[in-house]
Amino acid sequence: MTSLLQFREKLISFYRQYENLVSIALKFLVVLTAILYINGRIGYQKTLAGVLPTLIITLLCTLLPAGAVAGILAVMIVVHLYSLALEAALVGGILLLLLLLLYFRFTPGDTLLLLLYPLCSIAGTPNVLPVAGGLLYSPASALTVFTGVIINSFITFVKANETAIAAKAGDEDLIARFRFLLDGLLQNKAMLVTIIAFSASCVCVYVIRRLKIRYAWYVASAAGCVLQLIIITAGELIYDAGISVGASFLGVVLAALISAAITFFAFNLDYSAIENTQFEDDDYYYYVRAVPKVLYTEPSRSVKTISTSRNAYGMQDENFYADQDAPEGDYGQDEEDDAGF
Amino acid sequence: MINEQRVSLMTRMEIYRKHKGRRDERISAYFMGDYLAKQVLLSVICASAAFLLIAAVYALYNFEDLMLSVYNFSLSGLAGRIAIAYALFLAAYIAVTVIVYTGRYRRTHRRLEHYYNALDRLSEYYEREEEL
Repeated sequence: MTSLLQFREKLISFYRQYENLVSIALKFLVVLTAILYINGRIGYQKTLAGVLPTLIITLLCTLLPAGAVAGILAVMIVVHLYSLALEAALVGGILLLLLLLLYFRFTPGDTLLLLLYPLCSIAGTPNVLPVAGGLLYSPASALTVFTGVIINSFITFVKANETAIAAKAGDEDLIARFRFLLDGLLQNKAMLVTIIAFSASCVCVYVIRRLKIRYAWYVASAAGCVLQLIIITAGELIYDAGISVGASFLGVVLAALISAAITFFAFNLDYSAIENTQFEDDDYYYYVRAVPKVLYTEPSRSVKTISTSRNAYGMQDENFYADQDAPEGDYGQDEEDDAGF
Repeated sequence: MINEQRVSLMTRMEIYRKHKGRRDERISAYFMGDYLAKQVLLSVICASAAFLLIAAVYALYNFEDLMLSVYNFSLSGLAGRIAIAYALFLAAYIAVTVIVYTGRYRRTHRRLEHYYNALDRLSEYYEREEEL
């Protein structure tokens, strides 16, 4: 445990020292991952999916706030979809516009969860996002994660059916393709089950971590992960949604480990040293329970032995000052420097 | 001689001003009723645009059925149903807007109160230093 605390302190100290560089580097990594994810899945616009445009857009997004980055990624998605088919761009554009008008109009402060969705999808653990949202933000993070699930599901559907969507046909099939794309969104049972699982998990984590119980954050993380697994498994059994329960289980286990790490860094308390106290002022009587944080203190070094051997430093002469005249003067303390202690 | 408590207080105040302070000052320039009215007006615009989009998507999705039954249903009945759906959608969205922005306004007010209390403490520090 001490070594973990030591590692945490070193990491925090490293971050404090190089905060600007580390923040920019991490943001660059997150944005680059998101853009590569989009280009890898629906990179139909070859010019936009090239190396140079990707780098330029990533560098630009690194300087912008999270909301603007989400907007730029949304525009990129629509441009790629337009290269595939007009109907795909229409449905994608309407979907993103509805999300903007209905949810992002409230400028939630957790757009970072949306930007992290591609990175977590690649790592096989998007399940960590609702748990992290419930621990670090508010139950409204369920809506942000909901947005991420919808966009990801739509992109996955387009990728899986790109041939059918792009097939050239007469105008009378315009409506048919439009309906096909909408059905892929509205009748996607896997997406529905995932949305319910993630939303319920986020709210559950938030409610439990706010309780005045010991290890609230750890209990909340575990409850959130278990709830996700139960809902996904039940949804798969009831609806036959095509969700891989094994992959979900691994994702949930990873989510539990990552959320334990988040708790260790963000909310590490020593429940064995709780102090209860009471006091009053003019207006209220206070019942206070103080739980100390677990902090790492550098062990104090005490000097026990002083080696007087000069041979260790190549000083062969025992009387080191023998060949020098001692400087003249009084070695007593200067009266002006005497502080009087 | 640097007064560490004063510097610590000023640092915390500046951190607040840098992150949330500017937005809070803009919000606090409004009375709560005016602030909510402004947000409700924006929400009406956003909700109306969203409703139009949803209605357009619904119409496109059921285009064939609508074309087949266009001569069989009354337009006034259809208009009434659309109006009721719009009113319910708008009412729900405005309710959410009022709840969210009332909470935001109150939190802004609390933060600014703490900031102004900190300003009073800061001026006390300066007065004490001048006396010394």
